[in-house]
Amino acid sequence: METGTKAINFLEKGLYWLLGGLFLFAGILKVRDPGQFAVDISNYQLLPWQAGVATALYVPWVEILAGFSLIANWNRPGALRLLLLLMLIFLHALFAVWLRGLNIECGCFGRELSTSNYAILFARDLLIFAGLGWLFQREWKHRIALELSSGASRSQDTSARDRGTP
Amino acid sequence: MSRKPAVQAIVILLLALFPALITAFWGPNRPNWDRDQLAEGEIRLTDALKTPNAIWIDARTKAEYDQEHVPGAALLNEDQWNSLLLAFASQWQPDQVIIVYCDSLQCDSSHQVAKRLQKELGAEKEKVLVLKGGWRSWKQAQKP
Amino acid sequence: MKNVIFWTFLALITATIGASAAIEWENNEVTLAAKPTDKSVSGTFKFKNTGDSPVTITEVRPTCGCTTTELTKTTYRPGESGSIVAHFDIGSRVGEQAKEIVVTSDDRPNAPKVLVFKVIIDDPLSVTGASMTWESTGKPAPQQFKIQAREGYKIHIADVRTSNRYFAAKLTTVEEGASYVIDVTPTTLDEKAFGLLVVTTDYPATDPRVLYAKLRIQ
Repeated sequence: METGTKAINFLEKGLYWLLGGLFLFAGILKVRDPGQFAVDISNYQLLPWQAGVATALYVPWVEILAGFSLIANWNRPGALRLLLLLMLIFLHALFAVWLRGLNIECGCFGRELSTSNYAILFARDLLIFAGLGWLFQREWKHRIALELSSGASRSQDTSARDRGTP
Repeated sequence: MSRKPAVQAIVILLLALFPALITAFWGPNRPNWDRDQLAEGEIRLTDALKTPNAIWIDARTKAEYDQEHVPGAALLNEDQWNSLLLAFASQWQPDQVIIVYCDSLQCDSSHQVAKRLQKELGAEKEKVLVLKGGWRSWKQAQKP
Repeated sequence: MKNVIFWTFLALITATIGASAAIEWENNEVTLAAKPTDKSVSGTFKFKNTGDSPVTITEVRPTCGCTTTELTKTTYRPGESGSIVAHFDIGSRVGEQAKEIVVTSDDRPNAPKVLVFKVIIDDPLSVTGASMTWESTGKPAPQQFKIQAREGYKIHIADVRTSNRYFAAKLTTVEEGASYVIDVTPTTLDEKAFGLLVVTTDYPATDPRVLYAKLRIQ
């Protein structure tokens, strides 16, 4: 029993590192050539050009910071949710072009590692998404357990803060 | 220390804004905010009109060419490539810039013609340019 | 309870992913081989309405003037199959040609389907020496332009000429219908000059292939 929990904890830690590294890597590749990334985004034909440019400049940095957060355990829960959301958007975009049958470069990892085989791209993104999802579910359970143990006064306090925010 | 995840996410999003802004203004390979970015070997109409000593090539069909074309442009398409190219080659000088156009943004025959001019006539890559937006952009510019 | 927002957003996005098309394509790419003598080739793209309501195809737009399409009818009942036949005019095209056909239907008016019609046309000729340069300080030595027909093709040279008096050309038949060599010699090296070697073949008969070599004295 104890060794099982240990193994899972080990896996959890490893996965944070792996996925964090992955996003860090993907972000850095794209940051090096945002011009190319903007062209790749425009190939998806989902966003107007200027929105694509903004995405090309901004999203890789979000990936880098969030990837770093996962590895360094700094604002980790927030980064986890951010990346889950990002992956959903990526999957959605990929799916949309797949349906339309556009033959495009994905641009996900810059130009060095590009493929336009949708099945592979989709499977890869789903795998990443699943990994993030599992971590999220673990983190969620952990959070609830923590909140339960920290008593009623604190949870009341936080819910009051919630209502206070517009 | 125990900030809420949503707050953490916002912190990350805000922090990412700084390097993004820096790369947007000073970064290498930063994208052009201007919508009509040029693909390789393309030229904008305004620049094409300013090019001295340029020869214009109409890569559309003969019927379209006969109806109307850029004044002075020669017809050269892949329907009758060889005989048309023969006529063109006799007046071509290698130092001239060739500007090829087809119907619009979507058509690719101008790119095909440009490629074949490089391959078969040995025209230099920098001297064979495709007009961005094609015939439609030219027609648009004629309107008052 | 900020997580409510997060989950709502998540659910919304997942829902849009789930929305799928009613028209299902059996093939969205057709690749055909052709000879330069072929006038045109035709390919068929098959589809089926797998949704619960009738679908109307509102537009079929090829991106090349060389491609025309045929659609027998526009509205398809649930479960009904149909096809788009595309015709590609070979003209004088050679090599690989990939032409797109954009199909719009009323089930997904904002997400047209892009079909790819690929035609690979044999290039029966290969040439070497398409660019020749002589230095005005050097010797007017002949340079060679070689023409080789691919196996299975019989191609003859109908005419050889240079575009001006600065260059002279001489044709030698290595193998009738298959292999030729043309020697090009500058008549003088006193001036800088540019010219073309123009070689007309007899294949294909409708628009015989013309080969060029760039000649330059610098």
